[in-house]
Amino acid sequence: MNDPTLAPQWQKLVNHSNTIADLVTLFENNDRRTEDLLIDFEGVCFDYSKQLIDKSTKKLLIEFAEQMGLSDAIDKLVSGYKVNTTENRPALHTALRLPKGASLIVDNVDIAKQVHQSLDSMAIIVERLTSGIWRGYSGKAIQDVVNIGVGGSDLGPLMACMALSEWTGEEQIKQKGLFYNCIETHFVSNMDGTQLDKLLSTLNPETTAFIISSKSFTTSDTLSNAQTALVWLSNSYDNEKSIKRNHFIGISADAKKMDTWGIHKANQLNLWDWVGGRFSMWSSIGLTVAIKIGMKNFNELLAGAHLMDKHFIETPFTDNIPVMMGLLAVWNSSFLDINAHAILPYDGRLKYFPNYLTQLEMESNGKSVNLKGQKITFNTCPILWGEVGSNAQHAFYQLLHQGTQEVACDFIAFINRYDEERQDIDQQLLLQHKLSLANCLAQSRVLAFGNEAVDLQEVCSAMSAMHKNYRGNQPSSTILIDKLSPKTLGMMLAMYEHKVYVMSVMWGINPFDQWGVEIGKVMAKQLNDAIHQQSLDYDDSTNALLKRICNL
Amino acid sequence: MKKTSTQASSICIIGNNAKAVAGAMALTYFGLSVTFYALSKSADEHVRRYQFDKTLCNQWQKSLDDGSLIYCTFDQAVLPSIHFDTYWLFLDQMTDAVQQKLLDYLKYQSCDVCLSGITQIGRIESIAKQLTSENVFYIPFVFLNDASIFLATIEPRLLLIGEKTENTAKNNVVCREFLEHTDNYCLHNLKTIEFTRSCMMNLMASKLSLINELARLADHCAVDMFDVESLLKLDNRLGVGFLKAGWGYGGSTLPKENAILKKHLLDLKLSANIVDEVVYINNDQKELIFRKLWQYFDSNIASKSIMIWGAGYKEGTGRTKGSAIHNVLPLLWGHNAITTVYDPLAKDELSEEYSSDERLKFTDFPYANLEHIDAIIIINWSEEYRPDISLINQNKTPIFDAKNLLRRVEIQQLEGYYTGIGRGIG
Repeated sequence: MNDPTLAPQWQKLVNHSNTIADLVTLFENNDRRTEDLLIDFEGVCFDYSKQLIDKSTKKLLIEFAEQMGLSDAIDKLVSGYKVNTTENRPALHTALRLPKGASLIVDNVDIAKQVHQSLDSMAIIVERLTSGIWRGYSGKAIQDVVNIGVGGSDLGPLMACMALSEWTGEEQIKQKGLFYNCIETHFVSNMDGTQLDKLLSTLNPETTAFIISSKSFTTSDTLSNAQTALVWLSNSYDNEKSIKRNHFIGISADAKKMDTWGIHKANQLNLWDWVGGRFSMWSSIGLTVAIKIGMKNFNELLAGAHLMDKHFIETPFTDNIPVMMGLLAVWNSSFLDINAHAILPYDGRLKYFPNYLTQLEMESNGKSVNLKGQKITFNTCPILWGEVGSNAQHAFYQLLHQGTQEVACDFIAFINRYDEERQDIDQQLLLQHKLSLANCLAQSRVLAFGNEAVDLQEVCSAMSAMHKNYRGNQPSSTILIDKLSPKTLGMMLAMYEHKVYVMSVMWGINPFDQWGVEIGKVMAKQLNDAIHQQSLDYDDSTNALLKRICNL
Repeated sequence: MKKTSTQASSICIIGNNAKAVAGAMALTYFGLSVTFYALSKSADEHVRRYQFDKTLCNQWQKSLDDGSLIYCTFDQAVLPSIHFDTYWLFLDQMTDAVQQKLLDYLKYQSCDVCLSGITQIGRIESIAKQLTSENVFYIPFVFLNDASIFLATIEPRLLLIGEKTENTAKNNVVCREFLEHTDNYCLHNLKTIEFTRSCMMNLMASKLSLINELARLADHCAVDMFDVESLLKLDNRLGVGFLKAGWGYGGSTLPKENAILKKHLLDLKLSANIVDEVVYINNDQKELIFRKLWQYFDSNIASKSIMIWGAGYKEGTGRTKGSAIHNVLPLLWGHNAITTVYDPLAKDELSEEYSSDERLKFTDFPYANLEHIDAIIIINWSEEYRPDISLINQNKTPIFDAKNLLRRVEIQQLEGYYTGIGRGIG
């Protein structure tokens, strides 16, 4: 079914949305809400009891999911069905984390085998770099690797490298009797060259390698940065062939384009067209992550995602974390008219996580046309943004608590931090971590219950001054994870990927294409020509701006 | 000079390394009898590793045959039942637990105690304080500048002895023998000798690292460090040693001295900038010749056949610890180059080190199959004869001389490519 408004449960949900009580009342009516509205799975706790739902809502949403054929849709996703209908492709990011020995045949090709061949190729590159065998043009070991990519080729790896910055592949290399060569990883995505300019001034061309990550190998942002990197290297050593052989690695689904650019065959890692960019971190696009954390830890990341995949595929909806996340998101956006969603990790290591999710969610579900090509008549993807929670408290929490917008929030935190077994543990850091956890819990509580969350004296004083009134009733979920590790990060990312898919199934849209970004690229090329040729052939606003840029 | 003397007291040596063996052999050579306790491996194991040191091995066998050497494996349980007049403890490779066990046993003994080894400054003094005996001595092996550890030990060019109690060394049987076999010695308190040892070794390392850093400049200035070295030797403020540019220093002594000094400085929150740089340059220097080869072949070394002359860390030795061979081989193999090593002295040790690696091949002849060799890397040369330039010229094989073995006149005779370290050529 493509139009959810035709499902019987849709109208029931519309009607139900008009009757749902506020959070204070919901908690007063049932002081054991978490028995039904909290899921624990392998160290991940998903508490959605502060969402504006009750048992009836949950029941209706699950029935809605069944009517929309979610089970079947999940099977189709993981089995290689061409769920990306507008591009006639499967979306097999789940295959990227199948364990070794698994098999998945799609169009007579064993996808799982291909995936592991690719991982083996990655492992060779990772080892050559991190054991100091890989050498630059002058024979010195590579010390810095720059990932040049944008969107899915940048946001996921950048986020994961930041989150797992405490992990390295040192132990694995040393166990092989090799010397560990610690590689610093960097990310460059900006089209305007600012990042690259600043970065190159700190690097040594003899010891820097570049990874050009582009599924199509045509992305102008990426190729322009790659060209600048090439020129920078060529200024140090005038032998382009040698430079390309020793300083560039290419990752793309288009091997021919990599050949044309001059990426050495041994330095090419291939992608497949059934991997969407924003779902691709698990593939060779994650090479920079593997270099940073080592292949063993990268495999742990994959294993964590696979664990969540199995949970998603096998678990009944009522206990299924990604399904419930997706259904809640649909409930908030399409039925409660909550058009904003804030991601609030209470851990600095997840600094880039909200940014990563902006692409994952909004590029996937920012759609207004369904699978049949019909215009959609309800709200789909909300505006998503976020920041490290404790920082956000000093930034936009004012809006969350007292603004006019309704915002659904995801709070994310880790129970354990700063390994208490270490003898040199700084007790102060532990105190800081607990303080952060306390703030996380406090904020979701105040957002939910408003004035009711604070003590009577303060309430009395608040009631006398409207500008101190906390209205509450802002729904949120809290994702509380035992400890951040490659495995739990993998679980969390897969969780959100599957949430996005669930939402798309409920809305009857294709989450795997992104036609909305195409015209912008075409227009940009035209205007780039216009700037160079100084031609004014556009609307009055664009012409006025062009005049100033071209100094006409 | 060998001296025959009547054994005046019983001597026990407890140790695990070549210095302990050399110390024992020196004493038997001087006519004394020694009981040697090897800590883990048998002393035979150490002698086997030093097969290239014929004088050491011969003295070992002779001492066993004439009964002046008794050796066995050290067993802590045996301690209470043995008593010697002098114990000589070699602390390198001795675990803290074994050290403490020995000290606990010796604490109240009236015997003399000699200590040797590379330890943090102050450690020897602290051990001496734990012992009630006033006759505690420190003999650092600062005189090992000969390929033969035995020859260097029986005629030490410089002998430093630390004394717990002033003017007691000459009464100790071990110290007395060494003092009688050197013209150049100094006695001082324990800590000053410890500090001096560390200073000496780290100064030598620093000097060589600076020379090697300057050698890189010499390459760019077309200056030959050979010439610079001979001129530097004219200034007697600089000393004549550690002025030869090359692939750096290896062995175990200097790297260990660097590491211990660095740790000591950092533990006291003092900067270790110079030590850090000395170590960095030395480690980097070991792969410098690989980088020259890499550039010569424009990074295309896959399937290139490379002959390596020498694997030992210094001339005349078969020991390869800290040698540039361990940097060069993995790099060449990592890029699928084919390697053949010529070093009769180091062959056994290398074979053991890379036992399961089929890529390690040896030759008994340095000019074997030169027509199929793409380059020669020189790391060490222990032969009594000079390399044969005419044979090299038959194929104009490029030479990458990490040891700066070839003299100017030999380089001028070469018809193929040559580069060294700071030779101003290549």
